[in-house]
Amino acid sequence: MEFYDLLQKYKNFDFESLWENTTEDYILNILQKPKKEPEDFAALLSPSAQAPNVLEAMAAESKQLTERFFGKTISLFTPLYLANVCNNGCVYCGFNRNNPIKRSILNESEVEIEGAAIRNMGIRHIIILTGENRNATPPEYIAKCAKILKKYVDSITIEVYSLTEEEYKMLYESGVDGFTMFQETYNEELYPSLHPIGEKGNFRKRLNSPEFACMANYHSVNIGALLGLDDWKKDTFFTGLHAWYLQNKYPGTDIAVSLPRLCEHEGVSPAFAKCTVDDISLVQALTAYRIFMPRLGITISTRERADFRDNLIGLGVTKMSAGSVTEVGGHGEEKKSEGQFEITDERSVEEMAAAIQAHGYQPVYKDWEMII
Amino acid sequence: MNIVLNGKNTDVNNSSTLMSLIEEKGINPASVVAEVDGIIYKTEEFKNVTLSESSKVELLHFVGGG
Amino acid sequence: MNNSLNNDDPLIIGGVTLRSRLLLGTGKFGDDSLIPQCINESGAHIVTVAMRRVEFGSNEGNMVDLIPKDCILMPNTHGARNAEEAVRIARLGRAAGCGNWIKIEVVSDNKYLLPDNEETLKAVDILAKEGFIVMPYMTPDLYAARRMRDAGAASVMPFGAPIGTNKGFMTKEVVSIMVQEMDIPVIVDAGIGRPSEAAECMECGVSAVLVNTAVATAGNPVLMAKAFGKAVAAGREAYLSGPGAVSSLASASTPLTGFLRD
Repeated sequence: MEFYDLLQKYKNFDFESLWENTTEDYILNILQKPKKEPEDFAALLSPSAQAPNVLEAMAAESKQLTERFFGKTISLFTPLYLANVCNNGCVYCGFNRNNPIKRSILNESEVEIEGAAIRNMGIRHIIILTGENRNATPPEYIAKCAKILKKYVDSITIEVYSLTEEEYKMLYESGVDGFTMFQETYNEELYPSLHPIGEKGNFRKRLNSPEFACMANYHSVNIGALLGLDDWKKDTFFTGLHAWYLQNKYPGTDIAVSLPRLCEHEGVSPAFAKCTVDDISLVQALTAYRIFMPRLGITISTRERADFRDNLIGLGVTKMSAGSVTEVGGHGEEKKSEGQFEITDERSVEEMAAAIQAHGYQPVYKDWEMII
Repeated sequence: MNIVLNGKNTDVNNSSTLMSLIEEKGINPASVVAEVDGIIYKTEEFKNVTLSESSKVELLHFVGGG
Repeated sequence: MNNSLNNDDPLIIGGVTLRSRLLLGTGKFGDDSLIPQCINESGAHIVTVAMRRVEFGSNEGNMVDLIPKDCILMPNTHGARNAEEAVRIARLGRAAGCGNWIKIEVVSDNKYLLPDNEETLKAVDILAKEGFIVMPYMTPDLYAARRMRDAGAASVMPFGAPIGTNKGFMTKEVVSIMVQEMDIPVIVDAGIGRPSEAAECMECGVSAVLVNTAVATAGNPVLMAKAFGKAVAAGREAYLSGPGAVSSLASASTPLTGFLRD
């Protein structure tokens, strides 16, 4: 069975009815259950959870669970864009092939410089990203970069285009131990219109990629949806279902989710956004994830405002990026291009660490490394 | 002839079968499980199993247990 | 007959819908003639027995005659110290013609009577392939349980406390994890001394409980058997009903999420 089969089972689930009829008391009862099922997770995403006392109860439970399973720590990492050459025409993305931005690909010496600069920042965990172009940035290129960067950092996660199981294994041999990929939306009918051009338009292939990484023994696998492309509650539910499926099937893999949102304010949303995701909704999603899956990693990126991010420390977040640059390169040298998305929290690693400590938490630079 | 029955040396008639042995011992064949030289036999097979010198016979039945 | 199951909540093992979530053992009774009544009063559907060499010249009755025909007779491999012995006993048990069910009990420890998970796993593997409905008695361990499931076990039976200790549900924490993570029935077997302890197991989501010593050595075994039947049913109903309603937070303060409304 693949995740697609599980997805089909819930496709026609009557979410509207559930969300309309779930009461505050029902949600509070869910918090008492020793084990939560997907249907419970769906219920936690109901509008009634946004009542102040209910959300506070969810936050308290989320905080307790996070501290029990993760301690008072936040793992820090930084993204490194190796290239932004892309054949896809995703409507929401800054790297869309039709966007007239400067394209570049880091060469080996540039990667060395980036690696050294990142190490200097104190960071030991990185995500390396490329656009989708097998000619310009083939798996072998990614592997070469990983080998170089492994000299400077302890853990490398890839966030690239879909690969085959063999290619994931090859990258693992080259020093990659983590995988990130966002399905963007789990709505199969909506997906094509958002990805009209390029390989990324293959919904099922993208859906299966996290599982290939699990099968290739990656230490951590991170997934997520771009909230706002569809009803955020549905995409959050399906992301959680995907995480639950992967965790159950691959209990040895660390599964994590991210909660990137397209936009948070009314009146500013692009035409293709189905909804805005306000701060309260994001907190609801975050705490719901934690309650549903106590050991799930939860990442919040620098897309979010600094003050908002700080308030999320202690609510359930376990990983945060810092010193982020979403242009190609940019840590060591001058920025080489335009960014994939706007960074709102521009704090340096030191500033981020200080903010974490101010909350009574410890910033963790090195959480894990591959020793065999 | 001598056979080993439930771990003990036992004398039996030279032409004993499993069934005759069981009946001789006063046991109900329907309530016993029999193994001869490592082979387990069903009740209907008992009369066809001829015992030989030094056959190892185990006769077991169900007793109370947790 | 104490019918402790309803059709909405069936316990199905080996393709059989069980009438009861209480399994009864038949060992240690002072008077075996009480066994039929204990089975009836408790409502047990699966009854365990052991195998032993026939005692010649004794007037031992036939245990099989004491067990109602509509019960499932499940031999255990008591006496086996390793997988090979357990497999042999299982095959002998099946030859008696009472069915395919087998409780694997491999104990080479006379001090604590703790089961050997590794040998048990080997026996599960062999016997499942031979078509037995395999119920392994085991030391609670999620990963051993998963391996047993993968090897074909129809359920796993972790102990509540070591055999005969009647110490109750000492392994509650780790068995609860097994209950949450296993997709085959988890049956607590051994160590349960009181009906309340059996109910406690059931309230945690355990699928069934096997009791022997507590009934066999009770002052009034028949009455105790009846109590266990009720306790198991009560515990299951409590589990199905879910936790009690929590009073809404009386406090108006929202220290963690207040920032969202500033």
